Amino acid sequence: MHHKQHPETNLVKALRRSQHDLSAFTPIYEAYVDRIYSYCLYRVNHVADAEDLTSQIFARAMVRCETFRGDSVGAWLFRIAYHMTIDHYRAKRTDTLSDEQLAILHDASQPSPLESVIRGEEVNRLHNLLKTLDEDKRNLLLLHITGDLTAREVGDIVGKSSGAVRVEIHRIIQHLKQQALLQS
Amino acid sequence: MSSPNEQTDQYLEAVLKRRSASVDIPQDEADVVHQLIETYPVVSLSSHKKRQILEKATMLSRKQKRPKRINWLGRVAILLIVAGLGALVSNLVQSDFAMLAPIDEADDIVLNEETPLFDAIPQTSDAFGFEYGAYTPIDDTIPYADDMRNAGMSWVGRYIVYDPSQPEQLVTVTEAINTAHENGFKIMVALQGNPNLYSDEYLDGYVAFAGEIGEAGADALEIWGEANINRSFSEELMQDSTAYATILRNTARVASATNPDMLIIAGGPAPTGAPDAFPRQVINDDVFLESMVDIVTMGRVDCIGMHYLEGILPPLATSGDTRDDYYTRYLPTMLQRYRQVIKADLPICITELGYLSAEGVDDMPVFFEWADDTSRDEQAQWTREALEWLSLQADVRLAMIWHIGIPTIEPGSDGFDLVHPISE
Repeated sequence: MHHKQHPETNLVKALRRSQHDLSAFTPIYEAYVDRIYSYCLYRVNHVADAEDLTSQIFARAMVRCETFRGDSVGAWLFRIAYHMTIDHYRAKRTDTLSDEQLAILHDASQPSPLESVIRGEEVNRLHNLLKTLDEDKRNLLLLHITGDLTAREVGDIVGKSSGAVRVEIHRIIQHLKQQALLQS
Repeated sequence: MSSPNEQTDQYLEAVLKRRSASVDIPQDEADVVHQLIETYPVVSLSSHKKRQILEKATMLSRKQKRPKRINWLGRVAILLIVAGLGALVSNLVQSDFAMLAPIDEADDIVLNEETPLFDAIPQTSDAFGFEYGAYTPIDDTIPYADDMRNAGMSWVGRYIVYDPSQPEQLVTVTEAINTAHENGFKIMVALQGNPNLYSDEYLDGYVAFAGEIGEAGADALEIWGEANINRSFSEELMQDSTAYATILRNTARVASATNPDMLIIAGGPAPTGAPDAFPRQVINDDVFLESMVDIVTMGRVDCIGMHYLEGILPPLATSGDTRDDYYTRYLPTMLQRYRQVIKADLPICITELGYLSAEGVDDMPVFFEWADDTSRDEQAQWTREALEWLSLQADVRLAMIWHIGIPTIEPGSDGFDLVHPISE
């Protein structure tokens, strides 16, 4: 994906260095903050809560960087994000993004005027579509898309096999297509 | 020129062409997936927002990393705090406690966060605006901030001995002030002087430094505490009954000018009754107060400092101390004596409040043996009860507990600590 600016191997090295030198964490933060924030935003549907959660997730990552054992920093970070957003979601459920929050969402990505029109419509449309998914399914899809994780990485986080994740995502997509047809 | 709808179709077509099937799902669903990827954007945060989130994450990570190792600045602060502790016993031992050995860098200091501060949350009264807090390590974070908040504390205390050869002191104090405010606390700076450095130039520097602390935003300033003993104040100056009062007046004037909202506190004297045993070296605290009270009441002082650290009985006791019934043994009698001396409407700030316990303290010095029968549980309970009682006294404005989380670096010093610091 185009937003992977740092080769993963370099980030793994940076993460290992950051166990002794927190300043080494900077490229990891830079590489993932947008995606972690986006994931949080779509999970909790609240801009300020998403910012707080993002801070908490990176704080947890800084404290626990010595627990990293895998080969994907992204998967490790999203595992933390997955659990922390679940905790947040249980404690403070919010269901919808307000118009104001959607506007922030549009502005934040700074698209061109044409893209802005298209995205404005599509984000609203897809936001409504995703609302038709239950919490687990939406989470699965967000990990896959916003987190840019493979089916195996998603499966590791949510405790399912990669095959089960593929099947689940297939069904989710089918469901979304049906809903899209119904709403068109 | 194409219509908006045509533009949209062209755009989506371009998107679909640009995006190949890069994910693990069948090609026939690619249109929806691609729509999701393209139109459910990864939000690009502004650099300002990224910095804000990172700063908060860093702050949170430091909190989560307790037990915390104290950096060298913290160690210097701790040395200074414990230096003040020596004043308490100076009427018993005049020199043994005076020189602090440098800390061995290999002795890492670890704070124990498990012990609760009190046996219960203090049920203090708001009727008279009473507030309380504690001396605790502060650098770029406050390791015990949560515990202190949970115990109803709204103040933190920072002790520092002015030294003109260390210009970084202002940076350190400013950092502590900022950290306190970022964590929602008010901060009292106890600005001590060094009698060994005394000169007119030093005094001018002390006054100026107090002004700089005011500019930095401190919420309260205690001016040169325990100036009634030669450990803290020039023995020569002590013979002039107006010397401290003059320093107090000048310092209060400058400090209040730089920060009119700062609470200016006359330094609490060392509780002592041993001038006969140590002539010229010690002045009784009530006599000392009398010598400065006129200047205090005419000047810009907001509060009279008081140090209560000698209790071995519950805070409401007024008799029964096995040592004697001298007024500094009991909180009510000491407070009453100060009221009698002050003879004014000025409130009293208990700038050092603590109970010493020998329980679990290795190598408790012999001059602290009076604390042998005070348990840690009693220490916590009495401190809480003292706060509750003080909150009901209309003329008590503030109480600062001595102390929370200050590691052991001198024998017996951790006997005052509410969280049992330990050394590895």
